[in-house]
Amino acid sequence: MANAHPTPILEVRDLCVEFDTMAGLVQGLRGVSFSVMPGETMALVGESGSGKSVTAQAIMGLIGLPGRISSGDILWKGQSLLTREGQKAAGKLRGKSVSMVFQDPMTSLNPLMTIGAHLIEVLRRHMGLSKDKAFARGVELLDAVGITEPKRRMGQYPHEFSGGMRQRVMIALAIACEPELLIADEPTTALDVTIQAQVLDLLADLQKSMGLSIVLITHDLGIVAGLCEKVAVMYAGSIVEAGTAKTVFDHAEHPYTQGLIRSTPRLDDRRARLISIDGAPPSLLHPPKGCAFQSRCPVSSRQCDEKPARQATPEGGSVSCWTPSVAAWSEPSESPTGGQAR
Amino acid sequence: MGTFILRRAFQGLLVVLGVTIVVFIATRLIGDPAKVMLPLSATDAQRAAFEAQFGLDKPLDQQFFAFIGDLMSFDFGESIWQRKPALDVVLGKLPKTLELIGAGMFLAVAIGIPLGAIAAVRPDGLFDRLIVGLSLTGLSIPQFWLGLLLIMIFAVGLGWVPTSGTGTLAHLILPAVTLAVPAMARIMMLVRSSVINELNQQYVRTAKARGLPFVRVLFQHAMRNALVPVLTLAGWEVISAWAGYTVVVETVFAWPGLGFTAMKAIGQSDLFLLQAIVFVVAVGIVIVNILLDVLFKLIDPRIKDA
Repeated sequence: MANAHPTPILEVRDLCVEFDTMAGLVQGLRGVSFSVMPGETMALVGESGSGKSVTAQAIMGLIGLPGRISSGDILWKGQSLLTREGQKAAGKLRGKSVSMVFQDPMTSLNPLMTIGAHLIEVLRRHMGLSKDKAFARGVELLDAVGITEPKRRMGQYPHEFSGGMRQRVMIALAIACEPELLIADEPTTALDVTIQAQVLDLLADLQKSMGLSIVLITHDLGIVAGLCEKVAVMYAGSIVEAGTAKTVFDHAEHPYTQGLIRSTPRLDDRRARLISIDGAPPSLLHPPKGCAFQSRCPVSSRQCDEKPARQATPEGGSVSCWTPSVAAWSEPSESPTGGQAR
Repeated sequence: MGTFILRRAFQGLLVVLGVTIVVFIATRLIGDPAKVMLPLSATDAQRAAFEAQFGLDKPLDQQFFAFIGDLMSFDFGESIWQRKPALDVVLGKLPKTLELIGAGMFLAVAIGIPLGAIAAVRPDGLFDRLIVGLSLTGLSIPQFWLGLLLIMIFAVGLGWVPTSGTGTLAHLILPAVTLAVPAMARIMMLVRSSVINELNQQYVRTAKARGLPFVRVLFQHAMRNALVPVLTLAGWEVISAWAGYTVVVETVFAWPGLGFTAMKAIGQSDLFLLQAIVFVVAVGIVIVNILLDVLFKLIDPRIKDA
C-alpha cells in the first residue's frame, strides 16, 4: 500500500451473485473483493462450489438466468462494468481486452467449425483484420502456443486435436486479440499431468512476453505456488484469506487455508491416508449468519456466531477470522513451498 | 465423396429391387383386376380374354420373371385403368406431387426452424409457451380433418381459394398448408429442444466469452449444431410426405398427383400402375436418403464414410 496507488486493471468490490432456483435463492457469491494490478498473476483458490468460477463468469458477463449480480461492482481500470454505459464498454472489452480459458477443452470448441474459423472469427471481430490477414495471424498464434504445422492445423476440426492441443488452441483464441487480462478457469484440470505442466509453462511464458495479467482459478495449490504472485482463498462464496503467495503459504492465518494446505498431498509424504477437512461446506441456500467455516473449524468459539470482518495481517495480506494465525490443526501443516505454517 | 455416392446408389438399387419384388407379390393379393374392370355381366370368355391381354392368365412365377425382365427396360406394362404405359402415367403425375411436397416442406422448414429457434432463446417465456402450444395443436390435428376444415373455412366459407383441383397458386395454398402443418409442428419442437440443448453447451459459453454478439453465437454456432438432428427429421418428413401424407392430402383436395393416382389404382386393382407408382416412390426415397447422407457429410466433418 506504500507505493503510489496505481489503478488496478481489474477490481472486484463486494460482489454478490444470487441464483434464483426452484429450491430458493442460492447466494453464489457473498461479498467478494479483490484487485489485480497490470502484469500481476493472481490465483483464486478454493474447493468446488466456493464461487471461483462464478466470480470469473461474473467478470466475463456470463452470469445468465437464473443467476444475477445482486450487489457490488466490477471495475475495469477504475470504470464500472455494471452501469449502463459500463455494460456497453464491457461488450467491447470481453474477448478483446479480457479473455478467458475454460476448464474443459474437449467441449469448448464448436465441433462443426475448423480451428482456423474460430481464430479468424475473433480476429476479424475484435481486430478488424481482413480474412487473409486473420488467417496469417491465426497461423502465427497457433505457432506461438506450440502447435506444429499450424497452416495445416488451421483447416482441421476440433475432433482432430487431442485435449492438450485443444487447450493450446483455446489459449491461442484467448490471446488472439492481445488481451490485458486473461482469466484461466482451471485450465489444466481436464489434462493429464505432463500436459498440465506444458500448458502452465505456456501461460507463464505468455504472461512474461505479453505483460499479461492472469487470474488463475484452481484448486491445485501446487500450481499456485509455481505460477502466481498473489492468492485469494475462497470459501462458501467469499474470500477468507488473501495475500502474496509466499505469505499465504508460509503463514496461513485462516484455519481453512491451513487445512487446505495441510490436505495437499505431497510426493515425499509417507502417510498412508490423504488428510482432509472433515465435513462439507455450508449450503449457500441458507448460509450461516456467522463465519461460514465455523461448523468445520477446529478452533471455533462463541465469537464465530458473528461474521468476522476482513482484517489486515502483519504480512500484508488480509483474513476474515476471529482467531487468525492460530495453528488450528493438531499436526503442523506444511505448505507446498516447503515453509512451516504457524 | 464420389465413391461414397456410388456405393450408396448401388445399395439403393438393391433396396428398390427388393421393394419392387415385395410389391409384385402384394399387388397380386389385393384383388383380381378382371373383376373390377369388367362389368358384372361379362362372360367367362371376356374375362379370359382380358386376363390374357395383360398376361394375368399365366402362372405367378412366369408372371414374375416376365415382370423382372420388363423391369430391366423400365417397362411396367400398361395401366389397366388408363390404357397407357404405367410409367408414363406415373411420370405425368409426378410433377404435381413434387410441387405439393416442395411447397409443403418449404413452409414447414421456413416457418418451423426460425420459430423453434426464437422459442429456444427464452425457454418457458411467453413466446416459447405459445410456440409449444401451437406445435402440440398442430401435432394433434388429424391431417384429413385439417384439410376439410380449411376447405370449409377458406374455400366454402370465405371463398378466398378454390375447394380443390390444381392449376394456380391459389389451388396450391390449402393442400400445401395441410401437408405442412404436422411437419412444421414436429420440426418446430425439435429445433426448439435442439437449440436449447446447444445453447447450454460449453462451446456456446466460450463463444460468448470471446465477445461475439448473441445473434452470431445463435446462428453461426448453436444453430449449425442444432440443425444436424433437424436435418434427419426434415428428411424423414419429406419421405413420409412422399410415401404417405400426400395420399391423404391429395385425396382430400382431389390434387391430381401420385397419391391421388395411387388411391385410384388401388380402387381399380390396377396392378401395373401400382407397381410403377411404388417403384418411383422407392427410387425417390433412395435419392432423398443419398442426398441426406451427402448433406450430413457436408455439415458435420465428424461423420466418416460408412
